[in-house]
Amino acid sequence: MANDYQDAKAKADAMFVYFSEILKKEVLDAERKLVGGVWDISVKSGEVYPKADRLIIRRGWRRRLTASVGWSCVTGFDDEILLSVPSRDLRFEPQVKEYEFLLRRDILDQQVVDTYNHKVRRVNDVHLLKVDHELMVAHVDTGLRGLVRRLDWQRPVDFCVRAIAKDASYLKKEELVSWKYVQPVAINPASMTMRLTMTQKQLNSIPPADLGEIIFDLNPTERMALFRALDVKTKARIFESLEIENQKAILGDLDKKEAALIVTHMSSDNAADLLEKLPHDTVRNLLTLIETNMAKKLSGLLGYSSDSAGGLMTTEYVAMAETMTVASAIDFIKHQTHDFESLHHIYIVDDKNHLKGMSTVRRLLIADPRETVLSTVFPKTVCVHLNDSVKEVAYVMDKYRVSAIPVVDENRVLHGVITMDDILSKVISIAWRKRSRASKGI
Amino acid sequence: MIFLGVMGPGIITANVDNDAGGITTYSVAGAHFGYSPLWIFLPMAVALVVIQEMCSRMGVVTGKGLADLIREKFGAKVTFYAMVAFLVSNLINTVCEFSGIAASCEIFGIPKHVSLPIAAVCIWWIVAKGTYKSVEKIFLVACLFYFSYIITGFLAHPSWGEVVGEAMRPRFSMNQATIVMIMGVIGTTIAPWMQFYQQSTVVEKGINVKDYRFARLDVIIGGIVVNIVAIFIIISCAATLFKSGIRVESAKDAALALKPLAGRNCSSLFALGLLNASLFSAMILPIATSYSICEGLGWENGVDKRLKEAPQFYFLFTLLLIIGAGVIMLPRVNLVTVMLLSQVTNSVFLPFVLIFMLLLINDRRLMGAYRNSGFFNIVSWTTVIILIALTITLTVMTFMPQSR
Repeated sequence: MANDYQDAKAKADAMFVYFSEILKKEVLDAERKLVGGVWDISVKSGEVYPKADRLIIRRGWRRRLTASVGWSCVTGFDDEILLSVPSRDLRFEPQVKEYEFLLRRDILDQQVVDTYNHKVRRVNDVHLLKVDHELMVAHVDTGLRGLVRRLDWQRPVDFCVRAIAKDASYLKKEELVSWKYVQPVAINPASMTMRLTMTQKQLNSIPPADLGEIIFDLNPTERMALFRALDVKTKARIFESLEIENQKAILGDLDKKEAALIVTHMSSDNAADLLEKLPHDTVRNLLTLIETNMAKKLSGLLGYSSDSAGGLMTTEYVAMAETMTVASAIDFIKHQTHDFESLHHIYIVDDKNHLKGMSTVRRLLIADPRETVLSTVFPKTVCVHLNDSVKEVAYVMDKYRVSAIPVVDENRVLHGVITMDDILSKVISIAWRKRSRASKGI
Repeated sequence: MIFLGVMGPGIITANVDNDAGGITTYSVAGAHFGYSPLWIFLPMAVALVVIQEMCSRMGVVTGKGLADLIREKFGAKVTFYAMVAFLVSNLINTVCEFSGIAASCEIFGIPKHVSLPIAAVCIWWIVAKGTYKSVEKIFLVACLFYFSYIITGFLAHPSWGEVVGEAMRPRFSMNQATIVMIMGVIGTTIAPWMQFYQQSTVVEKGINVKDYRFARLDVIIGGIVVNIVAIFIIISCAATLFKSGIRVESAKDAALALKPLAGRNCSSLFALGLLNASLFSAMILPIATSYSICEGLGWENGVDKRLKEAPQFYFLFTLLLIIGAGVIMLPRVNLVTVMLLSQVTNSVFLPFVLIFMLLLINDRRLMGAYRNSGFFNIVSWTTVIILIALTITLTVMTFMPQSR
């Protein structure tokens, strides 16, 4: 039983090969004459586990020449690699031809995005799966042991580690990342974009804040290439999670149209915060390109100081006429509010947009559907004034324990809403500034 | 305005060239040879700018550090052994910087058993708790303190006519002592780790290709400022120590010898400059070393990362600080030997780094339109070959007893 298991394991190991081991092999032709050494393997990208397509052989020491053969010509794959063609059929050239995707050039020793652990990693080795005559990319090795293997020190190091601790995690834990989760950052030099190996859906499963961090672990060229490959919604989501400085850095590299498109897809308060930090003429340029609706909202928001309630608020909120019935209000929520970030509260206004009261979805659901919405409002409407400071807003929200608060002017006309997360990030940044000033004293 | 944003990496890196080892070499050169070594600094500024400019350009264009690029082009094996050499040479350099801290504090009457632990803890704290921006600000302020040497130069009342005359007239007398001095000056000014540091900071700063010309200006200003400081160190020693025929072995000797000749202020300023330079370099060297090693071997790194996120980075950084300060704390360490050893390891490693750089910067796939032009290649290869020839000769000569 134990033997069977050992056999099965040995077989499984034989089916996996490391790219670094292949690179050490010599290539023999059909007449078992030495052709050269393995230099690289080109793979067909676009599949979940890309298959080896061509073998690139290099020979010569002073004048280096390379030739390539299709993978179907590779017959043996043991101590050395056997070809089914005689060496005179190979055309050796001084330059490596342009291939779409090469393992050594584009993966080995390069950086990749590990979308499973949400990190940028350096590839120490490539783990290949051999099935019959096919060779497929299965994993990339980012672990310490992979690095030791590359240095040809695996045996002595393994021996030493085993002598000290038999069950050391170093021996067992292989840091292999499945190819499914690997996004290479090699850039197509012509279009300056990156080929996404994963789907937009997979990307969407990564929280935008993490995605933002991944993007800033890459160098500027790679960063822009990956960024360009994303769809505009994902771009806007990432954008919202970035610090203003980083937003500015990316915006500087985008053309105006693309920038405007992203700003349009951001929530209005985030967009206004960003525009406020940009030079005036840039803002004017952007606003002309942004959809009229959004532009109107933004230029309204830009008029307020960023530390006042007016600067903090968003203009996305659900307002309903006081005459509406509860039934039609629920219907409205069901069908018209998909685009809203949150539905904390529902604001009841008259025909001149004067704030009459505040309700919640829950209050509407339990109310009599024939009543007007005005009957469901809270007994007291808490609101803040456009010019109130961040501190005052935070104080009022804390005092009345509300997660969102309406912002009105002196005539009680509703202008916007401040949500908990907006005020929280503002208060935290103020607190941090104070703390770091106090503790660093630099 | 853009320049103020881009400024930093070039000026900081160039100033770190004037570290404890550099100041020692300059003061000894000034004391023993008077104004005659001054002409070296014009060609040296050119060489420095040529080399630093290439690093800066690679950093801006590729957005990757030098260790990153070496790893990606030359593979894991080459990178690993290069990084081992890098670690060894920088470890010795760090020891050197701490010896500078100890020496300058002793001039002010602070024993090394007090000054070194305090310095090491402060450096660790600033880097571990700081961000890239706050650390860079500290570095830029430290750069200002180099002006103390310029003041020292004026306090020494040199005869300016003689200074200008010597600076314009190259003199290459073929005696062995002069050659060793010239090579020592060059060897301490262009050190291998600077190229790694410069490129990494350019990358970490995220300078855009559009702003590259400002980054180049930053490098040029740095290259000029550093040479002016070096010139003033030589002037202050030449105008006083050389005129009185006093022979010194270290920067500390020079500072002490300045006291009776140029006054107490001059001597204190000289020591203050040494303290600042050593502290500054003792901070940058361990960061640069651990940063590049982590970069090349694919570990998380960076001043902006927390301890938990980048354990290898902080381990290496701490190790370098502890060994750096620890060796100097030992009772019987010959500082002159440490200095010499650091010069030798630097010069053994430098040729490799320079050749890596030239291969990388001519890589079409990597640099595109920003690779070296034919003319610039001639300039840089000439610079590199001269530097390599000089450093090899220096190494050989250090091992020959009659040369000292």
